[in-house]
Amino acid sequence: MKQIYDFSMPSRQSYAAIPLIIYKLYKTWFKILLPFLVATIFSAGITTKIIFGILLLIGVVFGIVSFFRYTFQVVAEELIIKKGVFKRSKMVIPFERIQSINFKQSIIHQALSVVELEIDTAGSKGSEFELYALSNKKAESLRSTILASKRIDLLPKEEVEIKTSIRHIGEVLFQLSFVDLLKVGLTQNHLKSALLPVALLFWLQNTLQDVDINLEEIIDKNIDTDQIINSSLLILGGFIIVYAIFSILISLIRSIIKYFELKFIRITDGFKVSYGLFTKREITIKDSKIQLFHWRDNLLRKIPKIHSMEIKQASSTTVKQKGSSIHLAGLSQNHINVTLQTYFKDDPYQVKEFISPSEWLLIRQLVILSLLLVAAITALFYFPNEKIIIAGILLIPFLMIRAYLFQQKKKIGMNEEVIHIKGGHFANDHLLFQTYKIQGVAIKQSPFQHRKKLASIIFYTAAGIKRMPYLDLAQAKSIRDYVLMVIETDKRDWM
Amino acid sequence: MLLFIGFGVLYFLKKLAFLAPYTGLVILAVFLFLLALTWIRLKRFGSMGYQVRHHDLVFKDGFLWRSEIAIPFVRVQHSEVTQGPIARWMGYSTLKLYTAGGSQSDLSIPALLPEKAEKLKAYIAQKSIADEADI
Repeated sequence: MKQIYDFSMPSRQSYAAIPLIIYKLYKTWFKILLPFLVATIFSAGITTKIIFGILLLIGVVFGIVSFFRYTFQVVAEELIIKKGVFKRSKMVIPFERIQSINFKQSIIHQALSVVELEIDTAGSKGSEFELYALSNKKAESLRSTILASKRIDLLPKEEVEIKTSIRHIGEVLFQLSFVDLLKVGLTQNHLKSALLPVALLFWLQNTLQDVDINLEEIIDKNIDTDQIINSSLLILGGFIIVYAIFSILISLIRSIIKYFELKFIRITDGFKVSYGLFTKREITIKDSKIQLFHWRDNLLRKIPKIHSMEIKQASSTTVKQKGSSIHLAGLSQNHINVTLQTYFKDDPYQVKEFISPSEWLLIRQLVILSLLLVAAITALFYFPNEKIIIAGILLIPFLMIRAYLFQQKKKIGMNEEVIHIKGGHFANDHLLFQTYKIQGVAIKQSPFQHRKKLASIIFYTAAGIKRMPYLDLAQAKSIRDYVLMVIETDKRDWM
Repeated sequence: MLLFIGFGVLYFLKKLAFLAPYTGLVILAVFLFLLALTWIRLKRFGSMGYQVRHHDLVFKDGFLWRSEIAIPFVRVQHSEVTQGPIARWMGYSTLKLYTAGGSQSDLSIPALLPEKAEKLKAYIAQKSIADEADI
């Protein structure tokens, strides 16, 4: 992978970009023109046909012109892109501003053996841009050019890192086999995705019941109410089974399409992940940009002992950008450890001691839930036929168990390097981030917490807000002060 | 959007039509509610405060729900002094600090005298660079 290509002169994309540009253009036009198309589809006169023909032709011409007007070059650690058909524009992107370079390959790309490059910069919204099509080798070479020259200004740090680095460059840390894919697909959180339609059904049924009751009054109670309830329960049961099968199938297919041939690779200063059946994606993330590791299992995933993991980058906008973080699925605990060891160069990520939130968190929730339960039972005496109340009564014990599990699992631990927050209700959830990458800390108190001298601590990271509830106020303050001390004295750049 | 809200309010009022005989009471309740809100606002204002420390800025806010947020100078991305029309009329400015931690961690200190806000802003900008060089 040496420098075969010279990027110092302005060069164009692969010719394959032309159809791709035209295709994209048509796609946007199609969306805009859709209502018009639907309106004229049956009564298309010769003039409309001509107009459409002209439009299509304009698209072709536009695509070709914009292809020839789109050039990129590399000059002194900067990527310069010139483009525009009517309004010419020039973008200069210094390499150090480039956050990530991701490869994307749809079926069309694969057929033409080209890749699309998405280049994300640390700037604000809309600062990311695309190279529609470059040949595989050229894209790879461009990426290594950008990554290589970035290494130069990081050199002093690099020397220290190489000594202790335990993973080789280019080593595959983790890959998914077909069986793993099946496991991932089968253990999606089906329950969660089933909740919405069940709730919808419940609501629908309730409304129907209302109508039925009205009808009954009119026709003098000719219909047997028991029968209605029985048949609706049957419908509900059947629906749940059908939905379960459907949901499992869908998530199976989805995870196979999404994570097909997943490969997680260590590269210089970062990680690279590639996956996808129809659309192949390749995402790279640099160590310095990583803000947070988030991994979790769920009830089903506990059986094959697999986890999903997200490696989050700093996102400049509050809107989540696609590809601003790496998603992995089907990892064993060992895979997670290897990843963390690779990133942290050893095991400074291991936190020994954890603290739990105050029991008041649980007590308060249980009190509120019990009061609700009492209220619901009382209400049941007045409205014995309201199904929603019965459902509520059944739900409350579930919420109580949930609250209990939350209390048991929520824990925070820290050492010189990282903060580790554990959590989850039925699942086990882990958040791990480096203390010096935190942007700000807050301590918050509700009136209740204030009375009990408790507080929640909130960490603002560049990859989202993370909180730890119901700590002792003094404890929260000492954590805050420690975190501030680390941020204010750590020499490393947060990104 | 506005239309929807308008309809919503109308619908709501229609539902409340049964309260018509007790108009006096309703007005009293609304008045008391507003009074309570004002009182909480005043209390909140009383407990609001900021503190410029060696390497960070702490802002305290809230009377019922309290919060205390600390932003190290080295993590301030940029800052600005803003002034809405009412604040301009009353002669006050707001100082806003932006970090990379998302909009919720952005700090805004309201009701500062304009000169003070500018001075503070300049100080933070200077400290931000100095601290970065120091460590």
